[in-house]
Amino acid sequence: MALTESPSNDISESTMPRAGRWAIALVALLVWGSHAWAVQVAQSQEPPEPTEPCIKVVSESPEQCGAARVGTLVARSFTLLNATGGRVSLSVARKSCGCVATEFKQGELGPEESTELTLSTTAAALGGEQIHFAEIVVTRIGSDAAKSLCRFPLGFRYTPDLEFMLFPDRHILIHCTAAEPRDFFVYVNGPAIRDRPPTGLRATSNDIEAAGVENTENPNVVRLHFRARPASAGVRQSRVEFDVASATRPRVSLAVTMIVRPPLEAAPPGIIASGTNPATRFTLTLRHRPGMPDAPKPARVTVDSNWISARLAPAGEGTTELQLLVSVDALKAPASGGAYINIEDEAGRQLAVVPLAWIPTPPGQPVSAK
Amino acid sequence: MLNARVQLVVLAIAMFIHPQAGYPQPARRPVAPEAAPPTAEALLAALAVHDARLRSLEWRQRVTVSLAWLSEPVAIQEGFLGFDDDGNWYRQDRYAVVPEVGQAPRYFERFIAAGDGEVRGLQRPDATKGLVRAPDGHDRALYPTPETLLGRWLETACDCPMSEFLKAARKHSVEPLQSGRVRLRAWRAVGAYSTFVDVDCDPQREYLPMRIEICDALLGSPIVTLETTECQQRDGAWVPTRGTKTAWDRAWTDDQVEQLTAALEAEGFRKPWNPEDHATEQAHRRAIEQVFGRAGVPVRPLGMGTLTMEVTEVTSINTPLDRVRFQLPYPQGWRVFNSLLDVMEDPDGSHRVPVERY
Repeated sequence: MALTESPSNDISESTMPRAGRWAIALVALLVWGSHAWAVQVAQSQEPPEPTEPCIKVVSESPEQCGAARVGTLVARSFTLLNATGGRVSLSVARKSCGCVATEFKQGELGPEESTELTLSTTAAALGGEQIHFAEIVVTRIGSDAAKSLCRFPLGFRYTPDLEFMLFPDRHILIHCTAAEPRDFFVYVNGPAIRDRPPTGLRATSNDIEAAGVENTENPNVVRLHFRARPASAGVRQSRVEFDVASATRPRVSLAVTMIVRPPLEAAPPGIIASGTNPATRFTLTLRHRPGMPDAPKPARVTVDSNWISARLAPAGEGTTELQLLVSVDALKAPASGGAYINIEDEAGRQLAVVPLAWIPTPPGQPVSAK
Repeated sequence: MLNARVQLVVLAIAMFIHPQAGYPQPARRPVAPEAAPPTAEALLAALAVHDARLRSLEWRQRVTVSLAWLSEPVAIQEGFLGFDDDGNWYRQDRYAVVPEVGQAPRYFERFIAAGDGEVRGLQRPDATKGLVRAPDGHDRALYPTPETLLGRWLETACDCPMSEFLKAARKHSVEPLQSGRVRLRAWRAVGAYSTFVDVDCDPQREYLPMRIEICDALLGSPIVTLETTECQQRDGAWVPTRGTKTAWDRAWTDDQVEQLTAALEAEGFRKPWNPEDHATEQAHRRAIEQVFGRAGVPVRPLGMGTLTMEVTEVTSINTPLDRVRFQLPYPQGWRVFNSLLDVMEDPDGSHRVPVERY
């Protein structure tokens, strides 16, 4: 993501404490995640004037470290001069990411003494400008550590020099219904990528098939077409993979999570049998989800526990709804337990799953001591 | 308390008593007075029921935070949010940025809508362009919301129901708490962290998760705490209507970290620690008590501190949301940067011009 240029990218000297642009960026990033809009907001602010000398910071290297090849080290050094008149210790309160390394040449400074701090990270294969910082805390030696003299953020930026960018770049989340196809796409952005498109599209599970590479109106962007068609409901994990003409990242593998709804809805969607006198027989209604009139027909009910029995019955004339009759054998049931009732079609595909929590409370015991 | 009991009675009538009318009374097995707490399987099934009960929701909420230099809590987010079970969601709200320690917040209006694998957004003022981008895991996990308080988005890359997430844990344990609640602990990594998740379930509310805490598996210190303080029953589902989210930062010194490492190495353990190894886990407990005492690794709230969420209105529950909710009204004359296609487009997406990048 391209960002507007900061008016103070050549920042080379500052006096602390001051929250300044980095604090704004921090708050904005907390609010926005890592979106470029927030950074634009942050950059619209002018750095405030110093309010209280504590540590004088000088850096000969610019805040913007420029383009960095993926896997190489990106670093920025600072000289920190103790301007407090007393002996202080320096520490890092927090960092923008665990990927940022901080190194003080010395962690304690006498009056007017200085030390060097280096912030560094390994350039990651991420799209757009990456912003990192560390918050430094200055504490007077011998005083209460909880009362810092000042704290301030120091940071740097770089832009990974990617041969190509991916969207999504790490993880794909899909919501779909079992047995219903759902298309999804991965966008690949690189110079003239249309002339050397990714190849070997594949998935690590049968739930997903590769449907091909498609051109877009931008010759630098192609989209990879995949189709999810999970057979069973629940949460399914898979990966999609493809090959790119790249020296640094020739094979791409992205995680895919499919949140797969069953084609049948149960009402109520599950049973919690709790309290001192829980019921042992239940009737639920099963109906097709809206927009799925041609969904497979239920044929079989299976239960993963021997203390529950369940069967299907027609809800009545003139309706396609079914009733699920469930009973718990209290003599066989454990003191507490969980079970799942599966409704399947003729082919064994899961059409619905109904959870049942069996949590009776012994007589004489309160449900809660609250 | 009265309300909770009335709700329980109504629920019992609605869900259990009426459907079994006419059935013969079943035989009951005598239960020992000193019964064990519910099993992990029972609690996981109860959580699965809670997950299944809430399919879609539209609500208005306010998130506040207390800042040391302001007498009143600041509303850092306020507005409408909605999601359905087809992966669509939107957020139309006002949010605050605190430009400087000691200063008052600045407010921005924002509208984000997502569906079909893309997110569209705009904000005012200070922006003249809209944006189209890929979904980001943090989009829905950032603030405390009814869905995050129910344990969705524990793993920010996925809005998996919490029961599914916890079922996949490598081990579980259950512990009754003094409060009468029951704690389900599940050892499962969250993202790159090796963690366990504590879920405190309330028997008075059908074992609804009232407090969820993600902790470092070896250090035992919290990483994020989500706590529901008020909830309501709507359309058969429990909806958290007030709660908090706190992200934690370890407040240890470099010296203490060195002491901890030395204590572990003295017992013969070497980095990298294996968080799934029981002996390593026990050694960490001993070393932590030795260095930090019984209170464990000290922590302090990270960032702005505890975020408090209050639902002020529920406008829709378990009813498919109108597609209009997910369409952004880009102002006339705006340009929209579509980062997926790397093009500038008109608000309606009809005219697209590739960005000169290479």
